[in-house]
Amino acid sequence: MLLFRVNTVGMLVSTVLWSGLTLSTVYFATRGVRSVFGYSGEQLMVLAAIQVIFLGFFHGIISKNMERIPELMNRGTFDFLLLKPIDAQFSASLTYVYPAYMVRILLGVGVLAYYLHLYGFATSWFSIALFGILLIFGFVTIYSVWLLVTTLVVWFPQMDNIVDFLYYLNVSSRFPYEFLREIGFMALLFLFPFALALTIPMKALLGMVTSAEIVALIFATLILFFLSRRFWLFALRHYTSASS
Amino acid sequence: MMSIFVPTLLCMYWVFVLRDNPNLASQFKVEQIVSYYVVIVTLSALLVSHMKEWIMREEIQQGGLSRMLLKPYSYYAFNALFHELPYRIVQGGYGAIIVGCLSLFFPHLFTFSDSLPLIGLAIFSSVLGFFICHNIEQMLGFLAFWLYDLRLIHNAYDTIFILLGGVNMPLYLFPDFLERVAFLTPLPYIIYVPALLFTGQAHSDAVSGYIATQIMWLMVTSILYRIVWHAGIKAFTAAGN
Repeated sequence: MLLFRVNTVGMLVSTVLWSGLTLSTVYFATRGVRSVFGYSGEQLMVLAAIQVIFLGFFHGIISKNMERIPELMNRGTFDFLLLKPIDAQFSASLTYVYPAYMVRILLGVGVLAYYLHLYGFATSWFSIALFGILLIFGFVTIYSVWLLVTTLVVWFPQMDNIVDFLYYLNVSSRFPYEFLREIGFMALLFLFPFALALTIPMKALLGMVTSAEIVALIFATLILFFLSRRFWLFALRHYTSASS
Repeated sequence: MMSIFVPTLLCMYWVFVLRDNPNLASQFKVEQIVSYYVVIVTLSALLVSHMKEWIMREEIQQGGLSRMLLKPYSYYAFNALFHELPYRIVQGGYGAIIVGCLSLFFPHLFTFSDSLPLIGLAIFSSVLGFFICHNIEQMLGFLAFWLYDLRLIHNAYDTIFILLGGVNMPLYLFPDFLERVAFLTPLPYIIYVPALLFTGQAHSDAVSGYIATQIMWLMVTSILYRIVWHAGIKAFTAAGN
């Protein structure tokens, strides 16, 4: 019982520290910066706060479950999951929920509200609602990319560090997609969904979004979700239990 | 690959910042920032030990330490020379080769120290940084003698090291207060100070102070290491600890 409590406190402190690292890095990196790729330093801080909120949801609901998939497949215990009368993707993605990440969400919301108030960013109920809806699309986009990559462990069960790589890729959502566009084509391929998923909701919140950007996010979400689902089902046909 | 990813993004960010904000050009230059990140990635691979998880799980919780205690040589020396150093040399060697190739083909992007005595001091500083980090990592692992779950402490250390150790960005871009706070800890003396020396970004009158402080931190962490090790061995009950 004591261990459980200590673990919970540990997760709370750890998630606050990582959020603090994200926010402080962006804060120090935008000090004295008037504008970079069309964004002010304050707008980049708003994006960082949105990333903290987003990762609070994502790590609390999805990523820890994704971490388990290579282990389940490697040990053959994935079979038990397949035998249950429930969709395997749903079950593998959403077995556990970690409420400790709520702290990260609250911290992000606090910083976001502070910046919106301090710098007088004009928001309306409509922009907040649009932000919320687009953030859900962004969530599904990043979930789809994670699933696409994690599914590879069906063929390469020893690649258990593949999820670590996805955690690193999440960092790119701290930057607006204009930044990645300037880096070049290769970055577009791997990182664009990550940046797109948060930049467009942020622009919606600040009233800077265009209808083309909204369509692009919705289109990317639908395509990626469809592809990840098809790829998961295709992979399951090649899953041969612990001997795979 | 993974350890290169975030510094590369941050480095590119700073390059764009300098492009879009000419007012900042007086504070630092593109070559300076590119060299810093390239050297910091290489030094991270070369000097930053990752022993704490292994000591906690394999050595103390699963009892592997019992086997090591029977050997007729120092546990510290074995870990440093035969467990950690080969990894560091291989990983850092790749980094050094990449830096060498990059600076050969894109010399205008880099500024490294061209003074031989300073390069010698940078190498000496790197050795000191490696042992400071090695001592800290081992002590963090030894906490498993008394505590079962160290994720909080290890996570906290990693986060603070990334921030105050200069991994994410050079400390001279921090507010003065935070830079001073960072230099009160041993963390900047692991890779940040050697990186400043290699890239020629350290003020010449500060170099001796950096090296002296590194020696002081090495002594402090070595003494603490011995205290924690001897106290931990008394508490160690092999498997089932």
